[in-house]
Amino acid sequence: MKISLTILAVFAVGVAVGWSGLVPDAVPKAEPALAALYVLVFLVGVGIGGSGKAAEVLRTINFRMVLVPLSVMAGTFLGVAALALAAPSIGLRDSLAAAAGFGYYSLSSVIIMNLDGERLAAVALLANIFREVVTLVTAPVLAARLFRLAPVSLGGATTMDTTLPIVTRFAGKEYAMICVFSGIVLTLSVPLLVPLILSFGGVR
Amino acid sequence: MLNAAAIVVLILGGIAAGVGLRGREKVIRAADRIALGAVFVLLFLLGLDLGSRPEVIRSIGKVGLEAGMISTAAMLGSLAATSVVWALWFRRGGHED
Repeated sequence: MKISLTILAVFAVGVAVGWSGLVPDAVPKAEPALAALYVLVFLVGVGIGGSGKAAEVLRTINFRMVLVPLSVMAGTFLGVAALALAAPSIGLRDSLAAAAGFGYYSLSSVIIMNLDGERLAAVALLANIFREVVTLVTAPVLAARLFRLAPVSLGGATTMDTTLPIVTRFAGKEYAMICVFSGIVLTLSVPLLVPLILSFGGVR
Repeated sequence: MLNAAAIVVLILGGIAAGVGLRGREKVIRAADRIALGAVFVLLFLLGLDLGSRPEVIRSIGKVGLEAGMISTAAMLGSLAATSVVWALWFRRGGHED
């Protein structure tokens, strides 16, 4: 929560500074070298491999576990597809791309900034931060009132790290491995699905 | 262009490197910090760029509303789909093995 709020603050300060006109146009803005993004993707891998969680998960993997992240993907895409049908001003391609962050706001918005543009990147950033914050706030209620895996589903990619403590606390320790596994699968899917979705529909 | 093959190679390479580095807490933590720092810089630049475009600032309410709607639709869909998995394979499926 702290980090997502810090991120939001950094982003807001950037907007304010840009709006103030204090920065001369000569300063390179959002067109960060692709190299920086590649480094980021590599470091995400280092984080997954280095935490030891991946190896632990591989030992306990079973059929039911695989269904959880798959249901998150399918449900997320069906949900935004329904939205795009109901509100045509929100394009299908754009909403799918923004939703494909599954709460992983940093990686998804940076990829979108590179492949599409700043506006959609901002939409994705806010939509995914929102998903993470809602997960943190509603985990206790959802686990108790809906079903135990509800916060795991809501948390998407974030359940492998940022929302792991709170989600396992309320879903139950017996679901901790599912939580990590689902988060890892969804995290790995972000750098694959977002460019794939953006490749449809061409340039706007 | 960002290409999928490069991303797969990088992530898998990163995981392999991470596994190789296991136990070396300091290096892992440094990698984590660099990643977070990169994210801060990139998102600050994104904000800077958006802020300096008057047309975006004028539509900032729309951007926020769109984000909220996409996020809400994504979460509701996700909950609905996982509830099916829960009902079919977990609740009736007995205990965690």
